[in-house]
Amino acid sequence: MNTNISDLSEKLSLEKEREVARTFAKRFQWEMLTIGLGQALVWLSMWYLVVNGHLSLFAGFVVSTFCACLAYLPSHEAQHGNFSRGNKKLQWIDSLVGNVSLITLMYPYPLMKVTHMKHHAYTNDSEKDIDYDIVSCKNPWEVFRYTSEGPKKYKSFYEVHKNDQNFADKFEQGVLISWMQTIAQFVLVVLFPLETLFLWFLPRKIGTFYTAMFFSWYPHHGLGMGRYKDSKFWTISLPRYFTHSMQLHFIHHLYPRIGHWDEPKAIIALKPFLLERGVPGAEEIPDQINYRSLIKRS
Amino acid sequence: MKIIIEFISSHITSWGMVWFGLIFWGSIINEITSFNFFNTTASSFNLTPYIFGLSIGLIAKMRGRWV
Repeated sequence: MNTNISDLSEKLSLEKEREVARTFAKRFQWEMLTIGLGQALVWLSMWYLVVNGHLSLFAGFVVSTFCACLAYLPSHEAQHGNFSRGNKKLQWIDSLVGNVSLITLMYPYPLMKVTHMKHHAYTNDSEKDIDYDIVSCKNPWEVFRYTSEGPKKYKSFYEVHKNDQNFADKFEQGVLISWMQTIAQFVLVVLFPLETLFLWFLPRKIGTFYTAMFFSWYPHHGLGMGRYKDSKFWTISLPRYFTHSMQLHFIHHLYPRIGHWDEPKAIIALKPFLLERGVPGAEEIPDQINYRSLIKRS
Repeated sequence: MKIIIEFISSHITSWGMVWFGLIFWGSIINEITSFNFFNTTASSFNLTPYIFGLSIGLIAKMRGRWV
């Protein structure tokens, strides 16, 4: 009996868990590359089509908003180096997808990358986690108000992390890109006022709110710090594609190098380990992937 | 160079909302009023939208937030 328990705990050890996770952290994420570059191209084409009268402003607004909601996650894969996978010759793909994909949201990639790494290092730390202000919002309305104000809160985090030279360098680089983006927006709003409002300003505000809600607030709200404790499985009635399967954000915080497209498969393979560790909600992980929300409503 | 960047950064922190109100919201309001809903004369509504945008920016600066 003792031998069986010993065998079982060996089978479900942290080393075994990591071994299983690693098998999902190898594949090139071509789906995310396609979405990242594709949405940016579609968004740019909206400008041509709307400005030249080939498409109505309203249709352009709807498509641009859709693009803005797709814009963050491909860059997020790039931030974790999930295109290059440690191959220095492929790092240009991380940089390309990371930068281009974020144009729709008007975020500077270098700044997003370093602040996101701090988010992983200090998840839910009120002083050191860049996303804490979103996570600590009491309700979606507060998240909306926070995101509508823009990135001014980031400056206080610069003070916290400025002794990290890489962070400071990339942050400053990001600020310069941010200024260039703002100048571009000012030029465009003078030349094409309503187009800039409906193809860029409003879509990126909606996209930012969407990203903050589903990527930050839902997965981390109301939680503490530490492995298995800072993220959660959560439920929603919508099919999982509407939330980029962010009900599984938990697995991303355990293993950020697992490609986003492979997370549903990974979570099913890792289910026995999560059950062994008593992770809340792990018992609701289904045995098969489908289009529905992966974690059932209890 | 660093002094210039710090000056710009400091200026944007203090006055970014005001510039945004003037340029961004001023341009948007100008475009909307150019449809001439209010039947105003050309000379008055060229400047008024930008003053209105500037006012929105100043109010946001005083409140410390837009919404």
